[in-house]
Amino acid sequence: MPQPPTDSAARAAARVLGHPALPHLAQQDRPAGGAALDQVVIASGAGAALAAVLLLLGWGHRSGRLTWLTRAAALSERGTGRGLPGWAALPSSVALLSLLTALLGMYWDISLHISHGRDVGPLANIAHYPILFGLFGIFTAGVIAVVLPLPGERPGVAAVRITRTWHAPTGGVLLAGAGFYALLGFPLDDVWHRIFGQDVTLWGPTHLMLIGGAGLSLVAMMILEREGRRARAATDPDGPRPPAWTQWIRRGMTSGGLLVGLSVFQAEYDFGVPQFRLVHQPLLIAVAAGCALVSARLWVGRGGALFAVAFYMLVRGGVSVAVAGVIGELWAAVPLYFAEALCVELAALVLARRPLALGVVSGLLIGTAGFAAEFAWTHVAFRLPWTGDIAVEGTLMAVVGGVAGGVCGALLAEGLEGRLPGRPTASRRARRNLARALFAGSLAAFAAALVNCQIYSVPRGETATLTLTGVHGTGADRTADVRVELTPRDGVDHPSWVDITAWQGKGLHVDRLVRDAPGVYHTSVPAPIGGQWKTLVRVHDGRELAGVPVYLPHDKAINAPEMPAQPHVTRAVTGERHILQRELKTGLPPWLWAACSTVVLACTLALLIALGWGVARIARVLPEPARPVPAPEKVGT
Amino acid sequence: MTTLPLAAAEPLATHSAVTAIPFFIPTFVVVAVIGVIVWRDRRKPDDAAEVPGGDHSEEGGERDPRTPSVG
Repeated sequence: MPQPPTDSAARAAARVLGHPALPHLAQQDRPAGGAALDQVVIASGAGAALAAVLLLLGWGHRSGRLTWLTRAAALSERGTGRGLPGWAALPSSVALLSLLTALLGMYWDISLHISHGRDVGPLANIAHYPILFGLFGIFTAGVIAVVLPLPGERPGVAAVRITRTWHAPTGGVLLAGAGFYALLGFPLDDVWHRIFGQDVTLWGPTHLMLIGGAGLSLVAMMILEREGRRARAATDPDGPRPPAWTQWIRRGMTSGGLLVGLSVFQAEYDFGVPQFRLVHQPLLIAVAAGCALVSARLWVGRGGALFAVAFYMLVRGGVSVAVAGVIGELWAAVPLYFAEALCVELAALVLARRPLALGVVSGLLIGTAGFAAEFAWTHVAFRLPWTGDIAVEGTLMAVVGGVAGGVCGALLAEGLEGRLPGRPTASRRARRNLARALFAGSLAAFAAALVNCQIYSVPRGETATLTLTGVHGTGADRTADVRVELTPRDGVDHPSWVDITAWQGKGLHVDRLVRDAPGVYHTSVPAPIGGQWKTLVRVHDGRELAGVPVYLPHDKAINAPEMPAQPHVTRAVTGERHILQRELKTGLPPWLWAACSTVVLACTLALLIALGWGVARIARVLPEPARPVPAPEKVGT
Repeated sequence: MTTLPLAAAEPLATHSAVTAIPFFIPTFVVVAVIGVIVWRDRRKPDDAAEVPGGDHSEEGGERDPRTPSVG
C-alpha cells in the first residue's frame, strides 16, 4: 500500500543532536564507500572512553572499591527477580532492556533503508544508535554477569573458571559471547560492503550476524536463569521460597523474547519487500513458533506458550507502533502466533510429560493448522499475502520447520531442566548422543528446507510491455497508472505476487496489480515514477523471481544511469536482484563470495555450538531426575 | 549495477564500521583484557594460587571442586 514520505522524524532528531547528516543530499550524490578520517578519530575516542568505563566498573567491583554493581544487583533481586541471585537477575534485566532497544533500532533502521535507500554517511543514520547501544548492552550484560561474583565466590556449580579465584556463570559467558558475535558483525559488515558493495537486504550474511547474535542471546539468558535459580536454592535451602508466579512470569517473558529473537529474520516479509521466495515466510514462522513455543510450554508450564505469544505481541506490536505511529516510518506487520501457541498448548494436554513427542506433534500441528491460520492472517495484515501458489510447498516447509523447531525447543527446555532425551533406563552417554543427533538432525532438516527455499529461477526470453497513463506531478511526486502486458501471456498462472514496488523515494509503495486477462495487469493506484523512487514490476510464480524496471533514477556514486519512465516501452523480464540492489558490485570472482561467506558461517557455527555446549553443560552439571513415566503410555499413546 | 573501476574511484562514504567503532572497540578491549588475565593465571604455578586479599569463599554460592575451567 502507498506510504507517505516520512523522513521528518529522523532528520529532526539528527538536527537536534547536531548530527552531521546532510538532509538534502540526493541519493545520486550519496557516497557509496569509505569514511572521513576525522569521523574515525572521533569514533575511536568515544570507543576508548567507553572501554575505560567498562574496565573501571569491572575492576572497581572485583577489588571492592566500587559498590555500584553490588547495589544494583541487590535491587534486581526484587520483583520478578525473586529467587535469583544478583549475578543472574541484574544481567537478565540489562539484557532484556538492551534487546528491546536493539529491536526498536533494527525495525527503524530497516524502515529507513526501505524508504530512503543507503545512508548519507557513517554517522547519518540515527537508527543505528539504538542497535549499537542495544548490542553493546547485551555484551555489557554478559560482562556484568562475569564480573559480579566476588573473588572466591562460585556462582553455582555450573560456573566456568576464569582464574583460580574467579568463576563466572556459564550463561553470563555465553551472553557476553552472543553480544561479542553480534558486534563483530559491524566491522565484518564494513569489510563485506567494501568488497561486494552495499547489499540493501536484511539477509546479507553479516546483517544476519547482527540480528542473530541478539536473537540467540535469549538462550544464554535462559541458561543464566537456570543457574541462578539452582544456586539460590542451594545457598539458602531453608529460606522462604519465592512465589511461583515470579518464575512463571520471568520465564514466560524470556520465552516470548526468544520468539521475538527468532522472528526478526522475517522482517523483509513484515515490511512487504521480501527479496526471496515467499515460501521462506511459512518456514521461518514455523521454526520460530516450534522452537520458542514448545520450549515455553515445557519450561514455563501450563499456559506458557500463550503467555510467550502475548509478550511477543506486546513487544513486536509495540515496536511496530513506535516505528510507524510515533517515529512516522513504515509499518511492519506481525505474524499471528496465537494459533500456533494454541496448537502447542493442546498437544501438551496429552504429551506434556513426553517432550520429544510434544515437539514433533506440535511441529506437525504448527505446519498444518498454524500454516492455515497464518495464511488467512496474511490476507488481513500483510502487504503481500500468501496465495495458492505456495499452499503445497509452504505447508511442507512449515511442517519441516515446525518439527525441527519443536524438537530443538524440547531439547532446549529439557536441557535447561537438567534432563536428557531417551529412555530413563538408557545410559547417560547414549542419551547425550541421542540429544546431539536430534539437535544436528533438526538443524540439518531446517538447513535443507532453507536451501530448497533459496533455489529460484529467472524466466528467459520473456518481455513486459509497460504503458503509462494518467501521468501527474513532477519530481518525486510524479505518478502514473501502469498497464503491464507480459509476453508470453501464459508465463504466469497462479503467482505468489505480481505487484509494483516503489521504494527508496522517501516512502514505500507496494501495489498488488489487478489482473485484466492472462498476462495483463494494471495498477490499482498510481505508482511513483520520479525523484529518487526506484520503481519496478515484480513477478513471483513458483520458483521464478523476476522484475521489470519501470523507473530508476540516475545514481552518480555507483555509476548507474537513469532508466526513464517511458509512456510505452517493452523491456526484458530479468532477475530483480540487481534492480533492487543497484549498489552490488559485479564481476567479482565467485570464490571470493564463498570465502567471505565461509568466515561468517564459521562465526555463526561457533555461536550455535557454544550455546549448545551451554545447554548440554547445564543438563550435565545440574541434573534432575527423569520425568515420571507418563500415564498415557499405558493406553498406547 | 556498479562497474568496479569507477566505484573504486568514487569519493568517500557510508560504512557501518565508523558508527560502530565506539562500541566494538570496548568489546575487543574487554575480551582482550580478560584473555590476558586468563593467560597469566594459567602460567602461574599452582602454589601461587592464592592472591593477596584472600579468598572470599564464605560469601555464598555453591561449591563444586569438579567445576571445570574455561579452557
